[in-house]
Amino acid sequence: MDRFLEYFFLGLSTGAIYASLALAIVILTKPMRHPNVAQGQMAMFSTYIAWVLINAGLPYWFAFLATLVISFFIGMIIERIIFRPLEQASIPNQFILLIGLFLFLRGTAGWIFGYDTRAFPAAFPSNVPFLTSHYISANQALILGIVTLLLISTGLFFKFTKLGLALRAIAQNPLSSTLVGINISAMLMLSWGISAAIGAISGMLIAPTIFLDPPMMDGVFIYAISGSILGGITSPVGVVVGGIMIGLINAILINYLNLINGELDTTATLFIMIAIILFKPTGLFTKKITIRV
Amino acid sequence: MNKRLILQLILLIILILAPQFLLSSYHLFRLTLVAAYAIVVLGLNLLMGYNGQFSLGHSSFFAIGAYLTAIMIPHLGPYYLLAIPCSAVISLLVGLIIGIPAIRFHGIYLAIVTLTLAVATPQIIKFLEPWTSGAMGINLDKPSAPNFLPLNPDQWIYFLTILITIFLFYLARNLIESRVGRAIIAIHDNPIAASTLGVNISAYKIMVFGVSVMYASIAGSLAALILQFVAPDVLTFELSIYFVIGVIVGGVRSLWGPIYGAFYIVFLPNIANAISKGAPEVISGLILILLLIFLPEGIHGGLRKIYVYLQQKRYA
Repeated sequence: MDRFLEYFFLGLSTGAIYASLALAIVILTKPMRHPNVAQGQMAMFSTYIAWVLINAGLPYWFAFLATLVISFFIGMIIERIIFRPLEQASIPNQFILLIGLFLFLRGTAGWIFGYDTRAFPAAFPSNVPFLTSHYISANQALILGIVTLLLISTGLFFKFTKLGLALRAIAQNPLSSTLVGINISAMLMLSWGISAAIGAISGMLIAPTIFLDPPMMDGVFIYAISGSILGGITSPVGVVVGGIMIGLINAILINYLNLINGELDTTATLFIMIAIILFKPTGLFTKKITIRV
Repeated sequence: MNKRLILQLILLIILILAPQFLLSSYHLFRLTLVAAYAIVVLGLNLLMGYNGQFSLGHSSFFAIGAYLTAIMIPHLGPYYLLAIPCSAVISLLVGLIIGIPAIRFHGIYLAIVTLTLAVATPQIIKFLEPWTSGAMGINLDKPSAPNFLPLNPDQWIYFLTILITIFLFYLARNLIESRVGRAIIAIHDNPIAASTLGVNISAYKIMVFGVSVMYASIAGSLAALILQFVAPDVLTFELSIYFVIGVIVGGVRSLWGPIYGAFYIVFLPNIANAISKGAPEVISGLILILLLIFLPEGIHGGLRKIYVYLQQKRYA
């Protein structure tokens, strides 16, 4: 039972990180109508920026917040410079563009920082437990806290603010949105900024565990996307629940039950994905998508 | 027999014979590799350019072809070439298992599932260590030419590869120019119109996917013979992305594109690695972005534009 709880909280906190990246992805998926495959690389790049700031002597939380702001602006700049010329292009073309961005960020990180793994600090030293619990560490509790805060604030933002409403509008009906005066390009820029900032959070939270190197976010991205498919790729609640579920499934199946060899984690995820697509393709939380002809 | 056909045949014969006797071993080796990569880029182009679907997992089918060939060859003796079609069939099965569920839906599902497959493939290879020698990889011997051909092993493998490449290009061209090919393109351009005209979209999509999977597998089998080595850590999803780059840079929806794309894949990393280890990716990323903004049809499209421009100047 002891071990189960340990792995439960491990899965929960790792799942929360997948969920946060999935949230970053879904914010852009809705207006763009396809996921941003470069999101993982953007998060990785943000984490490198954080590393640079921390190494330059900034205290952890200053660097954290500064990275969020910098990432926000980088996200907006990417939309303005790289994505905007192709805003009207077909989805496949946009997808290729994002692959180009993926490669560019990955290569740039490798070029500037090299491919050696680096350590990235966590907010607390790793052996500090949360209060007096034997099962959950302070860092894990912090991760859960941050992600919960993230969820609540994002949810409130989208539901109750005018900007949030505008962002939802451009996803649902771009033409009508323009007609009521919403500047779609500006809103997209904002979405990219928000997405980049949230991605930065997920990068900075997972880096202490998996160490910082250019391919760092590959696994996280796969898990975030599979969580999105599990929960429903266009539903913010769905992707978050999905991400957490993937984290829990991984922790329990692989570590606790040792049912599946630890080296086969992505393979297991592949099978889960295929099972979902076979049996409940829209995910647990989305209704059937119909296309009007 | 008209003049054009004779000219094409002569060019083909030159293509088959000349490099073997004119190029040094090393350059012949690179050219053979280009030919093999042209096959997988052609397969992917059929899928992406003509049919409009995305696969980020062709490295997996390439890997399956390569590994199955490496494993089977010691047991096949003089019939080693049978490894190629056998691996292709098995790759097709894997591809169908993975692809059929995903193809029924929006293209992004196929992209994600194939990406996951590509990431999972090195894991699976290492897991199957008893058969695959895990991370250490398998070494192959270069096959020598049959006794009646005065070719050294490098020349023989070039001969083999170029023949297979020409044959597969010929098949692809016939496919594209047939009714089936038009249906495939229609599915990309306007799936709703195509389905109202009676095109069975799922069936064709699965068929094209299957063909591209087999092309990737054959290319992988040949690559195993050319490189004489297979290992899991070079068969990652990054290879898949390079295939996609090859399709786009060479020219989407064209039969010449894969050739340019294959040259790019084989030669760019070498040139760019001299600058920095990350440079090939930076350059490829930039090229991809710039191409999409300014020249979405790749090298082939660019050459065509130049050709049309020159023609106009002639007649203006």
